[in-house]
Amino acid sequence: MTIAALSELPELGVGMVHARGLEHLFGAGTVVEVEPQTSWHHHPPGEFTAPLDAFAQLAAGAGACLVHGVGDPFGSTIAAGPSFARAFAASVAALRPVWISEHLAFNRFGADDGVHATGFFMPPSQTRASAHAAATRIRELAHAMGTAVLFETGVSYLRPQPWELADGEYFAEVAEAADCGILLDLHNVWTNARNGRQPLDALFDAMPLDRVVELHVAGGVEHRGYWLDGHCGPTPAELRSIAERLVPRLGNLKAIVFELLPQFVDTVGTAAIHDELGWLERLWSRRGTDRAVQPKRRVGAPADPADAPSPAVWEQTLGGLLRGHIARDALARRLADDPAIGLYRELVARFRMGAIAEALPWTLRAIRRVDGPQGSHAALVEMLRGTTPEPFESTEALRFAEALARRPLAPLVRDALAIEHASLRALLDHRAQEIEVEHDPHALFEALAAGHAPRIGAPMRVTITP
Amino acid sequence: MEKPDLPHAAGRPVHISIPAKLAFDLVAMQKATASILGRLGCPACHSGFDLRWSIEDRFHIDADLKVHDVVGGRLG
Repeated sequence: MTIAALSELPELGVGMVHARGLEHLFGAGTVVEVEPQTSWHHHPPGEFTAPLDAFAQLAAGAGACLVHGVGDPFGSTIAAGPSFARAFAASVAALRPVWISEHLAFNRFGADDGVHATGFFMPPSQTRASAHAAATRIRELAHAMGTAVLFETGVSYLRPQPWELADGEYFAEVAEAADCGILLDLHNVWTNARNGRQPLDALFDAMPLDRVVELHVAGGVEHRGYWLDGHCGPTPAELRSIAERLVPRLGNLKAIVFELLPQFVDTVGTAAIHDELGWLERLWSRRGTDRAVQPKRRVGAPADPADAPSPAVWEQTLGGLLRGHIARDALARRLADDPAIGLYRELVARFRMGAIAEALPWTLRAIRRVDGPQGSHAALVEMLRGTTPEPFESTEALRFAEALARRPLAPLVRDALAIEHASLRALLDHRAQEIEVEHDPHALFEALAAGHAPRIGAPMRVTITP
Repeated sequence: MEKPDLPHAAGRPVHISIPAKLAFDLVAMQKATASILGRLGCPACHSGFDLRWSIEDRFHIDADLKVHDVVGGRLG
């Protein structure tokens, strides 16, 4: 999509990322950015289904809808597959977005034992080869969907490599090769700069700012000496100042979206969220008005250096390090020296534990009740050691449940697991599940919620309906 | 939380039926957030900490289904 065509996209204004339960924060006509894969089901393996009726209802109530993909990023050399693509196309048809965006990252890698998920958006190698591979995927998606497609500027906790383009040059290379718009995630690029990557002034000078169609803002947190893109609070004051200087330069800005994870709404507070949205409205009013088409620039080196790894080798190497493999070649040894590898391992493990904690909370509480506070943690860690991540949380939880069920379990843990496992299966299979337990499910939930051990009773057959 | 009537049949296991969303709705009620029912898919977009494990450790509800924050007191 040319810059002239980008300039014709409608001006939408300020919005938020959608999450169920946060609707009370959205006024009528709010711009809503939907991450469709967060509410898909992945079952049976390899099949993906989207809640199309819910999406259509959401689109009907929103001022405007944007689709923000979180499952098939443009930086991956391995695409998600045909069932995933069908579910995505159906989601787009139901949500009728003004535009679509996805991440400039990778989330899969090939290995001797097959294709695995990273469990986290990982940075691509910033080479011309990877930029052009990503651009091809962006063009293909735009053609398939018939909708404008943007890529999001990503986070990298890694040190820059000598063969790589600087962050701004890399984003420019992708945008111009794809002839597409950019979702400039200000918190992401600020995070990168704070962690020692390209400073923001140089990054903004290198990027084709006339291609920036959407901004993301968010808050983060410091951990292990890194600033993390946590989506856990309002935009920090320093980043607000940066945004206020940048936005007047953005002649084709069409939307600004605030990202906040639902689990932080209570701690941030409704007043602070409304304050953030008020600031964003003021920021929006300062957007640039110079929509003149700028000459196309060519940036970056004419060719990648000879020692630059191919995109696939980069993915395989980083993926192997995330699994804890020993660094055997020069690239792996070089990357293994980067303390960010340890950070990524920790973040991946936390994502996996979070998925299981959310999908099987009563089982974990039962383990804690029987084995003490460290019991559920130990069970999770043991499972994480032996397996690679699953991109869908239900799959991660089912696999954990099935592994746990093969172990000798106390009656309380066995029954909590049976109830939750059957509940998940009922939802995913759309079929009633029959189990036999020795605890009444209501009594079990209430007792565990209150921190007590429920009374064991006579065997009881339970039908769990979808 | 509404309980179904339990059938009493001497000599046979009691058989009850519950909706799958019961477990997840109760969790959602505790955390004052959305139900998991819409969130069995990919994680949302961010590159930070996933605190759900820690949050799950933090809340419990009493027999009246009032939510308590173990760290900060009663939520409602």
